[in-house]
Amino acid sequence: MKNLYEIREKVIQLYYKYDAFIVPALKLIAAFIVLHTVNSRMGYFTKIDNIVIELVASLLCSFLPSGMILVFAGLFSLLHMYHLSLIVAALGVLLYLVLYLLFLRFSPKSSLVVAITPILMLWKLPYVLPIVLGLTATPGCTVAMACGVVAYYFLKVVNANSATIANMPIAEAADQLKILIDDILANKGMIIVIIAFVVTFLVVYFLRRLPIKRNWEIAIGAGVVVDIIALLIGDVIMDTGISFINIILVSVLAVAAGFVLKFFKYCVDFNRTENVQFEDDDYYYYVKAVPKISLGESAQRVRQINRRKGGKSFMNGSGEDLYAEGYDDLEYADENGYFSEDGYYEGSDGEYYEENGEYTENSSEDYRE
Amino acid sequence: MLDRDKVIMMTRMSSYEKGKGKEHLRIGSFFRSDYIWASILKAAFAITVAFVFGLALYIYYNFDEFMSNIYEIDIISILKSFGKYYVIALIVYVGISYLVAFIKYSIAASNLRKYKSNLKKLRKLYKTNEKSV
Repeated sequence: MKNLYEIREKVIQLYYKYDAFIVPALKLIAAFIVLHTVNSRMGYFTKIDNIVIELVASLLCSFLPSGMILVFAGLFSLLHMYHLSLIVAALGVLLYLVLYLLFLRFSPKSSLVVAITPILMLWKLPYVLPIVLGLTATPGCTVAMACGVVAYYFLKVVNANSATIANMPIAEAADQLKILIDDILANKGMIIVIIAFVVTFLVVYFLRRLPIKRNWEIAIGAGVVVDIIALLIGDVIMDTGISFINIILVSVLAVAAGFVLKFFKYCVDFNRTENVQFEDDDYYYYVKAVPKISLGESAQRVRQINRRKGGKSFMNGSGEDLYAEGYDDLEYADENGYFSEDGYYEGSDGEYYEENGEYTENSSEDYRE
Repeated sequence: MLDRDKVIMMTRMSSYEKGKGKEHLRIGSFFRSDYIWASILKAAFAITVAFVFGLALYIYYNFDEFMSNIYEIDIISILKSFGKYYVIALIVYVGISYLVAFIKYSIAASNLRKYKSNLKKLRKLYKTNEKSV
């Protein structure tokens, strides 16, 4: 367990140190996965089904706001639809506009969720989403999640009917529209999945916020159970043909994801390093504010006492002799603080002292490095 | 001479202005009633546009049927039935938008009160520093 905590600390330190590079890199990877999936699944417009275009668009997304991933994904899918049929593209534009006007404008910051939901559904991992979002996000995300589910089913219907639509002349545009709308309305699974996701999210969200012991564990467990029950009831009522083996397997994954989040919850406050600039009458300030990492204080004390050769006395900050003459140790600790081999003494006040008990200003940095 | 407390306070405030504060300051620039009314109007516009799109799709979907029975269709009763659905959708959606706007404004106002109180504290710090100089 100690090793895990050490790894956690290293991961977080690394994240805070290089967040200026890590965040754009993550955005680039997310954008590439989304755009590549859209291209590989649709691929009607061969000119944009090109890895160079995907990479250029992903690169743009890496330094633009995260909402641009959704914009690019929408554009790519519309271009593919346009190449398939004008009426399909028109229906796509209408659907995206309605989703934006009615729902997404309430939660513009969770637009990444809309882009990720269809990808997870393609990978057959959607049931992780309401658990993970319930543990980390606000209820506004339910809207984004529902929009993602609608977009997934719409694209699925377009893909399923692409061969039929491609062979129909433009004069039969009304028939193309009928085929798509009939298929979308006949898709009962979409409603069931949306209801199950929203209910699961709300259960996880409210249980996680309860001021009780083990609220995270309870929220994860209850969320998984509610998700399975909601999908089961939906399947029984509407005969949606959802695979329950997949639901169970993904639920196990969702539990694992939930516990990984719990492991990091005390450290990751999602406040990244801030670079702020301001001025007053005398100065211009360029401040880098690094959030403190609130790791639980380690209760471990290593006491290793060997026979001392030289006989030397170590003093703490208040001048007390911490070290009995005649003993040599590599590490020594008592209720007042912690001794290390490198000669620095960490007092109970959290400051660092040299062997002679004098406070040393830079020792904290040296010690950590 | 740099004042530690002043720098910490200014950094926190600047960080707020850069993040959530940007949205809160925008919301706070309206009176509560104006902000809520603007949200309601936006919501009414959005639901109307969505409804028009839906209606257009419905007509296009049933275009052949409409054209073959154009002289027999009771347009008034169809419009009444659409109007009923539109009013229900409008009331529900505007109601939700009102709630969202109300909550958003309350959160922004509460945060801006803290922000303004910090501004006052900062002003006091400046005055204290000036006197000591």
